[in-house]
Amino acid sequence: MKRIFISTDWDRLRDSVLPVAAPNRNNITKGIDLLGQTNSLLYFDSNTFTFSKVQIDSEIILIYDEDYSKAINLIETDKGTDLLLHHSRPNNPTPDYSIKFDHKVTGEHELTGRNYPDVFKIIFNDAITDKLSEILKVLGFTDKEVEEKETLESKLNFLHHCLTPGGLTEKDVKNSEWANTDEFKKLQSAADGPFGDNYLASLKALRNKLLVS
Amino acid sequence: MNQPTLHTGLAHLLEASGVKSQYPDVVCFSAYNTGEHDVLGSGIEQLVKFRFLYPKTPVLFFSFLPKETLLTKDEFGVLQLAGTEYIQLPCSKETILQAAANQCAKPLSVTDAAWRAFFERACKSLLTEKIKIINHKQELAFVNKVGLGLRLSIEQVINYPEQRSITLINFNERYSAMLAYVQNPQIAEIIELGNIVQDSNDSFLNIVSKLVQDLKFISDTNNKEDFNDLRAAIYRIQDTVSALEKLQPE
Repeated sequence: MKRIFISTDWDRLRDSVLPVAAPNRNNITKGIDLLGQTNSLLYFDSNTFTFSKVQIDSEIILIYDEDYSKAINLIETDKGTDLLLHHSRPNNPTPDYSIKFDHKVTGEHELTGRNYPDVFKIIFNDAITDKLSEILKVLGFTDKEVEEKETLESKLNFLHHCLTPGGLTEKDVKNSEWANTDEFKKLQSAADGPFGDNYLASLKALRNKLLVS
Repeated sequence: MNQPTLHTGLAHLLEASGVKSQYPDVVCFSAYNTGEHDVLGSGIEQLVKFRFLYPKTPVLFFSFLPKETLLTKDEFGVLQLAGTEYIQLPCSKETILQAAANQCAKPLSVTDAAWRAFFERACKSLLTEKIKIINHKQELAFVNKVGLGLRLSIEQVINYPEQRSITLINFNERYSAMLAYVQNPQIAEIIELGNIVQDSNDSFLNIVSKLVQDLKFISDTNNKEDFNDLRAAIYRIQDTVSALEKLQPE
């Protein structure tokens, strides 16, 4: 199950994000005001449309940003599937978000940037029932978009490794699906170094094959 | 200056090209950076921020994609500026060295109209968001956090000279709080950006620039005893904050 984790805290949401995301909320907090050192994780309850401090199966989970490094170890994440929205003002020290998440998006948490207000607009709109899908849409993380992005990233990573002959023996490269292409095999056989005519021509052909679309 | 972290493959290639040793002043950027959400645009974002601080530094910008593809990601036109050479990979050693030589031979001029246009557009976009933090009721609201308290303490110092030994204690505390405020990283970033915006034709940037000059004035400890001037600067900042809250950038 795909889930979104959102690193945040109530005071900043209330002061900077909700005036834009939910200007008519009439002091409704959706339970988010419970987020803090005592409750460093909150779980969205799709039955009540509020956040619960009791751990339940949930697609939307809030993490108290000041305690991110501790709180994230209280719950198991699926590194390849789950998505994290964190803010661009790093905590001190800045957590290494990539330890737990392959997919992460940065937002302007304190300064009413786009991602946080867009996401909390959905959370505070009770007319939207499939909140996760809507959130993934506004953050550009639908299955199709993720797949396209991952493919492009893999191709670029592969090509960058291929810039020098030394990179061709990297595990990522050898195990890649593109290592079986004729263009790659030709590149392997080019023995004139990273700036040799043969090497450059082969790499150019490989680049065109991978990126032309 | 900090060199951007490059993909190991590109780093090895540049090492092999000799560009780093022959042209140590040239800074190399890559459009693609491992692990960044924006697969195409993360390097452009890095370059925009870099250009603010180092407008004259020659830059080589590398990508496997053609420049036209990346231009759709270049919101502020940083790739079009003089001083940056776009190199599509793969490329020959001569291409890299020649590009570095070209850039070193004609360093970017800060008076160039294109550069000013880029700078104002990008700076305005960043400052429009960042400046909100000092607005009323915000996390670092100038008036509530430091401005009002400091101004009142100055009024006491000015109006009750016979009690100066007492009023100065309060003033010193407020002044220290104000110094801590301007050192806050978010405020420091506004000051850094606003400080390099000078003589702009844009009214929003001009207001921000004046605000920053006033913030610098009150946080300059050489002016600490100029109570009347300090008070006037605080009033100006308060007015500017109010004006900025109302002003929609063009």
